[in-house]
Amino acid sequence: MAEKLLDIKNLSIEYRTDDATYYAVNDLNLSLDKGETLGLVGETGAGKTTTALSILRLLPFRIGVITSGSILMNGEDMLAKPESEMRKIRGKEISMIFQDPMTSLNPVYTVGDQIAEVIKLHEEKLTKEQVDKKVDNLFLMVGIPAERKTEYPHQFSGGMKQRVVIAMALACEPQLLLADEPTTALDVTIQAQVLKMMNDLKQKLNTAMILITHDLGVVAETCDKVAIMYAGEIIENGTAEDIFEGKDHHPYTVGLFGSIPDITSKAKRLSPINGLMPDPADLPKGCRFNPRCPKCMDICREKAPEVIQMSDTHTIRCHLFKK
Amino acid sequence: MSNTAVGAADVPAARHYKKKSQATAIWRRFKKNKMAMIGLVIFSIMVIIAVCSPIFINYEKDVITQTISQRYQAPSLTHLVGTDQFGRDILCRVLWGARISMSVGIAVVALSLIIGSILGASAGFFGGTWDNVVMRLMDILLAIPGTMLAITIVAAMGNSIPNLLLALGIEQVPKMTRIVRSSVLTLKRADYIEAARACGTSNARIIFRHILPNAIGPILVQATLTVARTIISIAGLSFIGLGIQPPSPEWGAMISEAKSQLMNYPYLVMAPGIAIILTVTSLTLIGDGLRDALDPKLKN
Amino acid sequence: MHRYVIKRLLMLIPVMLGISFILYSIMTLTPGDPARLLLGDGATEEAIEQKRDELGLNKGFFGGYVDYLGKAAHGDFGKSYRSGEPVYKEVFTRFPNTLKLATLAIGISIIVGVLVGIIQAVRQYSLLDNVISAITLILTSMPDFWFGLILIILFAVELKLLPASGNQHWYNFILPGLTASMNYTAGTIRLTRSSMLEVIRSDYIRTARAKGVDERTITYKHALKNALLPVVTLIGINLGWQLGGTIIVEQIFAIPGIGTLMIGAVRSKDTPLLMASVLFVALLASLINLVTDILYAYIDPRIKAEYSK
Repeated sequence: MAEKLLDIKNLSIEYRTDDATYYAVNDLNLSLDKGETLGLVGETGAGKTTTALSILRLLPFRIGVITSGSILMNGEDMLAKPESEMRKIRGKEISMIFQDPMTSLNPVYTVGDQIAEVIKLHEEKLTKEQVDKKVDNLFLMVGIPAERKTEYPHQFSGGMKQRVVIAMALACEPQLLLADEPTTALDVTIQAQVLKMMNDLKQKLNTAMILITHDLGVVAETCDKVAIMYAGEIIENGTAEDIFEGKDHHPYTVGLFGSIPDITSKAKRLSPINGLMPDPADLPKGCRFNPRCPKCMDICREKAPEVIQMSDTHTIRCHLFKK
Repeated sequence: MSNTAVGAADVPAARHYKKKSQATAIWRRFKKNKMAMIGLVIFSIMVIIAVCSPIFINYEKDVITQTISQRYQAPSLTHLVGTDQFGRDILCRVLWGARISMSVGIAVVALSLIIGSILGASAGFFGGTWDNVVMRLMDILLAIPGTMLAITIVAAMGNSIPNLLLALGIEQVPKMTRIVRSSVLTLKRADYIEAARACGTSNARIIFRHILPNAIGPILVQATLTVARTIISIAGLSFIGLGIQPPSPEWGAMISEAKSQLMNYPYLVMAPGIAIILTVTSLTLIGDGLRDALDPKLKN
Repeated sequence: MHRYVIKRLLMLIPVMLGISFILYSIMTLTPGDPARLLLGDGATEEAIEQKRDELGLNKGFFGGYVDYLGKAAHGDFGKSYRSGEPVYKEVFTRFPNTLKLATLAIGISIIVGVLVGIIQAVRQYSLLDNVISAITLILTSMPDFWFGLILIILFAVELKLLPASGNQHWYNFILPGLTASMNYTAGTIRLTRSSMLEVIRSDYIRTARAKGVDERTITYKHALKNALLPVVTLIGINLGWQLGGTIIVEQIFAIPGIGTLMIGAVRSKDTPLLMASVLFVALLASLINLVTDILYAYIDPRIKAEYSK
């Protein structure tokens, strides 16, 4: 089997503040092959962004601490690399785009300059003309007229800004793109445009992508694999087919699907999942989902469930499926 | 949202509840801030001293009477900080000076608060030409840089207390007006104001029951800063002879008197200076702490 | 952009008129007759009346003001009652001293203020940060005249290093400059620090890190330009304020500047001289504010867009 592009094993991350310690990510396992798109799904606070930041080692200094586990990229140990090497990787082998395009760009520099910066940073041997040409090409690729590269971020709409951000992220043709809810802050129609563009680019450049989102619709459209995250753990993992068409699911997954409003359904009320995500500083004993789980058994309150292999591709972390 | 109509009587009641819990929440946040609490403690001590000093200090005997034979004494048990060039106990004078500075500070704050609130609230609420007139007037006052206006007023009109208050007050009124006005402008557009208006609440009621309580926060912060600035300003005016005159132990006047002895007895400037620094620092800490406690961004 | 500048310049006219009216009212409506003050107590009533006519004081309140405005529109701001010299001459003789003091003070506040503020922000929570915060807090609570006296005690009396008065040599201005700059420097340090801290938390800084930009470039290229925006405004305000606020420092260090000129004018009810000195400084301060706002627009493209509407 070909070497995995990204292999995360038993990753645990804590946020240590003056008030409390937050267990943001707990024993997480994730992997990705070249060119694959993984959808990382979960509610706000599940630990998705933390996971992505940890891949780039961009956790808040001194507060975010990786307490155990390993992150391997192309077989190399990312956690052992010195900061100077990580800087070379950021923006080049691995890129990240963030949720809110309105504030992601520096307001006092032109968009052209900001894109050129990442190119100049990682490909020092290029001449000024070559860099300019690359910037123009990138604009073309994301559908913005190249003349606009001398304009400032405030002169662009939200959707256009996000395109600039995407251009910046893909400028050096990274192997892995971490996209943290890239379309959440955009209008629905713009969302569709931007997603399609990301898909096309992804295929063209054969970039692997981790798409963080809470929108199952987006996942269905763009992702090969899906991982569902809850309270810092991956509670279900599989291909898109496994998740969307399979029979067996983690109760949380069932709840997620059930909570999507359906205009054709005859239901009178929304059916949300009861309760709230647990406080990361004070996680429940046993299975983290047990206080909210409609199928909770005694053992769920005592013992944390193991990962059950449902098929080659599909895993669920739940006592219900213990063989 | 329930279907029952919200009567006008319901709105003020709800507002009162909100105000009370807001105030306790703000106080709780303030309490957590160590530096702000230190400032509050120090300032409270100074206020107590200012109020109670007539109890243990006799103005005529301890503060004013000159006893040349006791000049320039080093700190001792009878004179804890020593005596000045006229034989007066320095500690007594400094403590009495707290009364003077506090009174002036509070008077100026009260003055600027009243005038500033009236001007600012009316300008913000009614807008239009009146707003323009008020803001242009504030611009004119603010365009005179530094202490020039205050000095002109006092030097021309004589340095009686009302004139001093006028001069210092005029410096502070534009800032207070601005703060009140911007609070009013923000709140004018708030949703619950629209709701109150939709219930037929009168303009006056809206201003007094809804807008002003919410504007109190920034106004309070500005008030602490005003007292702090005023204490320094009055000290400055007294220093150049235009404020409180000797033999009153106003801190600035004390420093001015000590100035003539700078060569031989430099330590005489210390006590009043440190008194000013202590007072203003504690006020600044309170003001900063208040500002942080009011800031919703820091809400947990 | 040009329209904005012209609009601002036109706005200066009513402001200057307002200031002149306020000053005129204060001077003329308060007790004290300049003629009497000039001639002394022993003068006869006729001599005083004659002097009053000479000085143009018998035209009534509004008459005098209109007269003043009329002449001012032609560039004649009158003669000092006391010296008889044209006021602009008096002002321009004294102004360079105040200017030297103010620019020195602002220069110190900019260089020290911005640098220390950046250092504090980059090393937040360190011992250095806390110590500097404590020092700046105390400095902003300290009266500048007291600071000046302490400096004199240290450097002139004890160490006998620097002169405490006069304005002949450049080193005469060191202690006064430090004194005048003290409050502003402390304020600049605090503002730079808090502005940098706020900017460093921004999303676009996070983006820059994700691009692989090193910390140094992030601090000095990405963060600083954004963080300096409010600091530039503060410096502009400070410079204007300085020009009118050096009065006390001038008194302590015996520097003949506009501040001392002004106090003398008020005391002797020398209305033309007072009006000239205050109006001059106020005009300068307003122009400095305008220049600062324009500068701001050149640093922040969003503001430039605002002004061009």
